[in-house]
Amino acid sequence: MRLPAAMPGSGAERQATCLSSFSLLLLLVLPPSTVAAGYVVAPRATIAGPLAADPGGRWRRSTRPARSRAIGSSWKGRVLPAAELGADDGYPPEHRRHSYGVGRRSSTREPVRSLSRIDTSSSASEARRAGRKTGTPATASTWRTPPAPRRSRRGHRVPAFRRGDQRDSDARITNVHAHQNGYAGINSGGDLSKNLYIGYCLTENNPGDPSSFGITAAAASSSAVDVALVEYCESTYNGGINPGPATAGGDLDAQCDG
Amino acid sequence: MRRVTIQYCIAHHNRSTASDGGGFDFDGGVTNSVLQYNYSHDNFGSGYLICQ
Repeated sequence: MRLPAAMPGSGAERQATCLSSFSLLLLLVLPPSTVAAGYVVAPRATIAGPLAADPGGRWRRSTRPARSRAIGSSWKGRVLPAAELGADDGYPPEHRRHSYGVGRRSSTREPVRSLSRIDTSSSASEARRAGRKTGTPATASTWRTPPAPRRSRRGHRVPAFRRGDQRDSDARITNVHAHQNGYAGINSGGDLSKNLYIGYCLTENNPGDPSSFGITAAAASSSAVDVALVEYCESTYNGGINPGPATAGGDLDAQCDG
Repeated sequence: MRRVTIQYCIAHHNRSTASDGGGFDFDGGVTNSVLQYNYSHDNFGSGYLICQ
């Protein structure tokens, strides 16, 4: 719908002027961290094809997430094996086309509320881009913390999958495709977990958290776990932008934090 | 962390700007654990890392 043009000196013009002044004042008052870029955006591919992107492209910061390009979305397209791509140095472009951090939790069915929903034998669950901004935790998590997002100085904690109010025992994470997240693909942390099982999962393109100096981009990082079995999982193209020194990442690992 | 088994997994093309960036990792006080029947290749760091 076309809006009528504002007449000089009209109320609409004065209102627009006030809004512009207010926006400028807001930018001056807000701290730089609030206005600064909140997303880490991958190098862009081109419509010429997924392999046409600059292999040496650098990740950049932006105030908005990268939009899907004409070549489609990686979670809808075919996941190419590394051997077929022939790219041994660096990420293939279709693995790094998007920013991460949209803040959704998604599933092929419905939003997952407990680990029992994750344990889908017939259809795979998908957790993509769960972290809203840099500094967010893992995709599939067994944290026993309340479901409300926890604000930290690095951003929001938005677990894609969490276990809810039950005790952390006999937890299962299966058939999860975790990709394009910050910090980690699948993570078990927080309180003591017993009998943790992670199976038949694919964690890929979890590049790490550039704002975190802890362990980032781990595919399946666990802490404070007694009896855990991780099997039939694939971990690929994780890590890469986690900062150094004294950081780690990229592994499919088991680690004690304490 | 104890009594952890990682088996029948594949880890490849993982990397890091600093340490690690490998395939599989038992780190920081993991005890009584097993790492078996895995395939690790084309990683930046160690294929298999056991570290205390």
